[in-house]
Amino acid sequence: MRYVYHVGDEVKIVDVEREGDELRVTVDERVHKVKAQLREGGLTLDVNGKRLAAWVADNWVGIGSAVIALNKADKRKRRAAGSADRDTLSSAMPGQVRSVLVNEGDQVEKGQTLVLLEAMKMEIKVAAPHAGKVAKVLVSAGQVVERGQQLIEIPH
Amino acid sequence: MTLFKKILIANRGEIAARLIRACHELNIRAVAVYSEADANALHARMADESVLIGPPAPRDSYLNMDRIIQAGKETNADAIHPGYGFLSENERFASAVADAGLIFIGPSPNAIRLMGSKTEARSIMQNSGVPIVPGFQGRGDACVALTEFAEAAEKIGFPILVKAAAGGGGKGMRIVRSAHELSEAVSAAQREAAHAFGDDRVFLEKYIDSPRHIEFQVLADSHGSTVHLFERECSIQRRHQKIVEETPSPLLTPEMRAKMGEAAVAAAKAVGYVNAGTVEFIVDSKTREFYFLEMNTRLQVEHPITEAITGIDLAQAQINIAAGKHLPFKQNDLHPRGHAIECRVYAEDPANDFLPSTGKVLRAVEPTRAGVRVDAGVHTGDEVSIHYDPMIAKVIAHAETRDVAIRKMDAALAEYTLLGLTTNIPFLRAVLTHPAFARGEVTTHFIEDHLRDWRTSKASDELLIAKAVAEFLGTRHQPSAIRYQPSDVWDATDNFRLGMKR
Repeated sequence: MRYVYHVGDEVKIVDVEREGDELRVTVDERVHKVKAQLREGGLTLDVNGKRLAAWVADNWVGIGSAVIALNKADKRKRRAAGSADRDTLSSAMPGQVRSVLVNEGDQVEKGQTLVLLEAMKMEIKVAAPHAGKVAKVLVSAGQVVERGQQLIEIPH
Repeated sequence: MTLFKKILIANRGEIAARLIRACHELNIRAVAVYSEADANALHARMADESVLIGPPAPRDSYLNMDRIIQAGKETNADAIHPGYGFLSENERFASAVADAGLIFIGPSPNAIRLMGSKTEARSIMQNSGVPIVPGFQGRGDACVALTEFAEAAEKIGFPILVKAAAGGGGKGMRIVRSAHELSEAVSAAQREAAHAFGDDRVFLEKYIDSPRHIEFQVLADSHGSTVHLFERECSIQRRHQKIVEETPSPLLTPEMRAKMGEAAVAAAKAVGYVNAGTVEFIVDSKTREFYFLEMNTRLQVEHPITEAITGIDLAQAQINIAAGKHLPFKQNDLHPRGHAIECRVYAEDPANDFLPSTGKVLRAVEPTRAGVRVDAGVHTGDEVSIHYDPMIAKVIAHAETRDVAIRKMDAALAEYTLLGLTTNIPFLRAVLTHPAFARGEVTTHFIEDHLRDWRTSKASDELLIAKAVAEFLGTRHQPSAIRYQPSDVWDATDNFRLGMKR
């Protein structure tokens, strides 16, 4: 069976096959001999002779403090840190829109604060990545936004 | 002396859970209050009674004084413990609790007021012989002209810190490195302070370049006995908020400890302080001079490390003091044992400017090691929402020496699994294992200096294998024909066999 995961911008292909009384797992061309057993909430593994306890829930997997979310191709969300691309600004964190400081049609300077977001007692400013005209304001004050949600469009 | 039968905990998260435990230790019933967002939260589940106090937004629930006091009266609570944050340093709340005939577990409204105003606190300390950082606080009222700030700044010398008079946690704080940045920094700080605290007064302070943040725990009873319970080094901070604390401080000599401890006790006595409080000092790593920074008139997040080295339960001590009991020890009876470290686990992404992350905790597996304590606010299935502080747990390690405590902490963190949201655990491990941390070279700039470029590690093959194999074995049509003896590597009496149908 082939499993394709997205980790950040990377694509990882993992092939799992039975081989005798073990599993043969290939990650990018690296072959691992694996024994495994499901248990409540996860599985116990023997990877090339090393014993590991892993926890799995939805798209998350963790071995001790090493934890990662592995997204399937269709579930992949655009990662956004303040600016998703050159023209659309997105939220770098989940939170609530405290205020929108510009209107559609406004001319803004590079670095000008456009939106104030608040989450968990923290306030962050979403600033214009470049000068331009505000084409669209996609959120309003009080609205709850997710990380990566688009806030404002400023064509380059 | 009062005997408490029931205490209302006006807080949420890990501290509410910790205070409920303290009540139960003393065989006092605990009442939790919770917002609509916390209906199934840990603290609401743990308490003997729980009262819904309002919608998720803090101002409608955990900051709603009337509603909380009403809940206290409805449930016949004898006292209210405010925890930290929220209403813990609100003198009006402390007064209102007393007016309602309940006991506020904390200092007097007057002590909260005096220490709550940084400008007022500075002058009191100055008059009590407690050293303070050179600074300028204007006349203590709102309208100080910018020109006055500019003149004062020149006198103190740059760099300068602009701070909110009512501030805390870095809110309304600005570093100004040259004169032309001053006016903008002052107005920005005023705006932020007005927004965060409803009080736009700011003051100036000399900025110390290699500062260490070292604080002293004090306990004072209502019979005039005040002691300190040694220091906590809290220099490792991100965004002016602490993430790793330890005691004893690697910097202090016994002489400095004694001197600072005396200053802390003097600071508490200067305002007639009763109950647990923390006197924060800033220490110049180069000159080793120390200055009073502020006094936190409440229990601190990092109180467990003091508990670890002194063997004194601070939450229980607070309750006993509020009940009018005498402190059962004097300064000379207190002897710290070993070294303790605390790491704060935040739902945040250190690789994304430490911005908070939210979500459901799909799985929480806490470390269970000897000498390690976990104070968690969430368990498997709990939500971390946008409404509240992103700190979800604290891990405390105690050992005979600093070196062993560090390694014990790292081992504990290494086995802490939290699925469903991004946490700072891998980042905390990077702090602990950094050579500069091992050498005790910590300043409040530690993260900027040493871990600025820290990035999340890539998905290891082991994680990818675990995920893929879990999916593979979980697929219904997989045969159970793979022969495999569990006993050869692990004991698995109640587990699934490889490939077995579900």
